[in-house]
Amino acid sequence: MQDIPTTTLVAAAGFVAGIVFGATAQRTNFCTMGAVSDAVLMGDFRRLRAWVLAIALALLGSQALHSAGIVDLYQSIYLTANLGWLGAIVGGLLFGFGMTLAGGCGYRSLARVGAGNLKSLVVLLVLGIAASMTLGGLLALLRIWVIEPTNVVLGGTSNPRSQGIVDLLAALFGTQPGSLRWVVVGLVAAGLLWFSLKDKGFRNSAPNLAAGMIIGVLIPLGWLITGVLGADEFEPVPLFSFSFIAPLGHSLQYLMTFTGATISFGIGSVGGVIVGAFLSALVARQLRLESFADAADFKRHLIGGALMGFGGVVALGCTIGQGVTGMSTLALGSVIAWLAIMAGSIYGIRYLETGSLRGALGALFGRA
Amino acid sequence: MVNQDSFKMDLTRREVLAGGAALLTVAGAALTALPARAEFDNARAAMKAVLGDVEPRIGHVALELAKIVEDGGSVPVTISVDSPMTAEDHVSRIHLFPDKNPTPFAATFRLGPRCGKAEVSTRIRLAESQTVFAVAELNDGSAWMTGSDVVVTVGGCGIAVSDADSEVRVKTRIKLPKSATSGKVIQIKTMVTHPMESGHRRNSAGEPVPRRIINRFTCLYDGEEVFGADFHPSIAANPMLFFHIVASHSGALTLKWIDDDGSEYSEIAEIEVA
Repeated sequence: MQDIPTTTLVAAAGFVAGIVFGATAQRTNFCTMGAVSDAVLMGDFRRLRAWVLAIALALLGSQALHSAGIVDLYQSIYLTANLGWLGAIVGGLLFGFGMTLAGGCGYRSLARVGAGNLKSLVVLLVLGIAASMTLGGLLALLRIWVIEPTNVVLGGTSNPRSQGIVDLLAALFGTQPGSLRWVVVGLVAAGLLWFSLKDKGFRNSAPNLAAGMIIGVLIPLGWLITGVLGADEFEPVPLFSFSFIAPLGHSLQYLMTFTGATISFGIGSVGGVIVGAFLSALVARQLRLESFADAADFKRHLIGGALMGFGGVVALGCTIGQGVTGMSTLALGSVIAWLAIMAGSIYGIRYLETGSLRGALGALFGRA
Repeated sequence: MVNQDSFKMDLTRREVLAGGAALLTVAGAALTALPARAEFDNARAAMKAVLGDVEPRIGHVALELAKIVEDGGSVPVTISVDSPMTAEDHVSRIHLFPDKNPTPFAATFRLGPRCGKAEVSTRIRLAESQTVFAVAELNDGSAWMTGSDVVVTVGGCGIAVSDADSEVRVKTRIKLPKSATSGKVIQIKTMVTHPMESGHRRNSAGEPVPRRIINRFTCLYDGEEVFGADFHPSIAANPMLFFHIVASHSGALTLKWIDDDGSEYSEIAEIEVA
């Protein structure tokens, strides 16, 4: 135990949890893009309810860990005093649009690659490169010059401590966040649970129920892995849970600079999702090589991957990173990003339907 | 799920051109921002000041450092020297030179045969992409070196940079094996919470923040220094030091950190040797 570096331990645990994450996507067909398109195109809300169930459980679990003092969610990248509202909106819209073009979000694409989908492999490569370019490459300049100057910096003596909805409400009513926390968490969780579980079709759908529950449990587990297992006194790892955009960029960099690189929870979990989906597809005899239908198909996936990489970094997360992990911290930025991703995704669906960007706008605002 | 193959998607030529033009603008701006390169003049000058006329040769030293780092504020680095660390043949000092930092001299580590193993870890600041050099001086008067290139990119996920905290809360930490067999090399892990204010920074009002760092560290084993360090502003906040000593006998280990303001922080740990 003593000789294994903390980063390696945390990455290994992330890898194992990632296997469960990946197998879940492969077995249950959980897909955030699919959730939106099922709802928009077919009025079938079951996959969306699975997503919402995951958020509700992740919220309860994460807030319980926080209240018990086991992890400090204020150390996460979501619950900061620096509210990147424009990044959440612009990045979320681009991400949502991109994931529709690419046939799934980063998480879904990882699971698809594990099952043999070469289209998703292209999506992931482009996504990872675009994410790295936005983190520290050419596109980072765009992020730093255009997006970040609009960030609203909270904090200070009289202001809310962070962009957490609990802190914002506490500042508004002049009370302490501690007494308010469980009122807010209870109300939000109850609302989300009611939305997901009120539907009989969802309650009778074992795969959707399972997906929501497993992902809802894995997010707090991620906090535990980085926050408790990674709490080395001298080299603590940053508090983190599942997210698949920046970690994908880091994974590509890790493979390219292996001899001088350090592994992390994010890199471990990315690898785990691919392996988990592969094993699951192997057992289910669903391993199948799939490729592009034509050049237009290829182009859609390329652009979708690039938009997801850029948008995901600018919005600080994807449908999992902001859409479940971020939501579990009740950060305002996460809620904005989540709604923007949904909006971008709906627009993307209309775009694919009508075949033009303007036609999609018409479809969005003219008739539903 | 949407069956996408049934939909058509076409980018117009104008859209492609507009996208390309936007990218070119950003690329042009990036190119003009590239600095001219000098050949390690800073590190050479700093080395000369420390080593005098001794010319370091390449070899014997290994520098463990990431190739790409996102946060230049705290970069882990491990220096190890291929040396038996005996009374006759050992490393006496190791120096660290980040060529492109405002202060191109990060630290000196003082070692001796009682270290047992010539390996030191700490965390440094890197102001920009550069080459970091590590130089080891041996007891025979020779000096050996290595260099490692590191690319420093901008920070990733938008964590706000806090303003200078005027109040310094110093807390020392130390970790070593509870017991050791006689003559075995053990690793000592130390850290002190301290801002290591470099003196190169300005606060939000634009005024320079005065320098305040831990400038010296020493580890005494029954009163005799077995390991020590001199720190410069390129050492990251909350300076961490991992080093090794030979657990020769049961006794007290005294660790001292000396602050720029003259304060001295110390910690005592007992070594039990079976």
